[in-house]
Amino acid sequence: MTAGKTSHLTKNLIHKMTNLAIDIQDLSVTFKDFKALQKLKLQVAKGSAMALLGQNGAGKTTTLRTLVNIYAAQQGSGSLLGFPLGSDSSEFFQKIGYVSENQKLPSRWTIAKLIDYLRPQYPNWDDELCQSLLETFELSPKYRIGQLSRGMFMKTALLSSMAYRPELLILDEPFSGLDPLVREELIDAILDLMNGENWTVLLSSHDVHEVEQLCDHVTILNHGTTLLSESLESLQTRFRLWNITTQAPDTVDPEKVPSTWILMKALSPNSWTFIDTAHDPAAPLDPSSVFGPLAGQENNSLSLKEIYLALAKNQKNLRRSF
Amino acid sequence: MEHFPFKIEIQPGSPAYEQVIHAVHRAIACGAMRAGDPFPSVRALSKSVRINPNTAHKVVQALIQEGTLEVIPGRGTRAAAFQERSTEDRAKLLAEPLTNLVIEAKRLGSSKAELKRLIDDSWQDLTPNQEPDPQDD
Repeated sequence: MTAGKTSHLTKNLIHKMTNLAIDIQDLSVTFKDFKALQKLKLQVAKGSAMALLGQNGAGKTTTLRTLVNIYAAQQGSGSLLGFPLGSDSSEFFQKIGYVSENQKLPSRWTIAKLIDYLRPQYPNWDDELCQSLLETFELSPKYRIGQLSRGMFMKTALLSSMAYRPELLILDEPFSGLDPLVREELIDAILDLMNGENWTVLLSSHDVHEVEQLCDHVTILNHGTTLLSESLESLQTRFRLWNITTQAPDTVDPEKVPSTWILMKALSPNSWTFIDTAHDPAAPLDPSSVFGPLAGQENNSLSLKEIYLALAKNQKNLRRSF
Repeated sequence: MEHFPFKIEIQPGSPAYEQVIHAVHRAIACGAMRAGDPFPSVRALSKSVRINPNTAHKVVQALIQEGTLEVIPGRGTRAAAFQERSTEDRAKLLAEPLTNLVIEAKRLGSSKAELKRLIDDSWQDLTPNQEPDPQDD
């Protein structure tokens, strides 16, 4: 490699390091003979909120746990906040907040004792923020952790990971098992910090509606690999649900159906439904090229949940056809 | 918290981004927001509607782009003055929603007169002051 090329690569690397909070390539994790992650790629821009979606077993929790070094990566490279993947330096952990639905906290301690224990470990610990989170979450420092309800427990876990102002907040299923009010309180607290401090958030969730509000980027995992990763806006722009009524029955030319259409189905001999996954508002689709003369057509945008379910269904169909 | 010119709670079903823009259009149509009214900051919008700040930013940018909002240096973002469009422009922009409305009405068995009456009612609901349009009498 020539010197010129090297310097170009270095420049690229520095550019990436400054804009990406997470930049991971080819991440593979295997448990015995189960390949949990296979060459996973994940990039999260600083200041954005990325949701990890996927079915149970798709690799969401494994991804998050590998990023915070609970699991070791068998393969893979990259960086988080400029630290190499697998870093165990204390500066790294001071910059990352991690909350999981299976979090363990000492049950005999009070919240006050937990706070007193954590404070000296984090140079950036912010007592003012801690106090305001206690108030927002309506938690008394006197509460004993073992006696907290599920909602109060999750709020305590979140508080203990936010009060030291991490640059990256990693949340594994933060809303699971919580009532709607508590979900809203958690969302408010996270939005507040994203608004004021430009925090980066990476969260996994099955609660697609909450994700749609909180996040601006989505990564969908499928069997340990990245099925897609893009901004919510671009995803919701390119997916459109079409309903077509043709003038005559059975006029569809299957050869002409673009590969970007999924879940195409005949509702009757002259009406069809499908999802276009490559909609471009600047160059709208003309379905008559596939369907012949039309009697009616309409297309609608889809919620994230509908897009997610459509992709999951499509993946299932693809697997069946092999 | 500052006065919020429109009410919205994001519902599952369509993109949050579209729901907020629709709520703003509605607030303008029914007079809850008038030209010159201040529009919430990205931060206030994100907090009160509970959407990601980047999404809130895109909503504001899109509303500025289409001319619904304008940025006045030193005074922030405000509802823009009403833009006069030509009759042809209006007909073009309304063609698709009108077709869909008529399809739906026919599917449900509405008569033309009934649909017209329903449009009148809806127009009335979204008109400030609730004064009947003199042309209607």
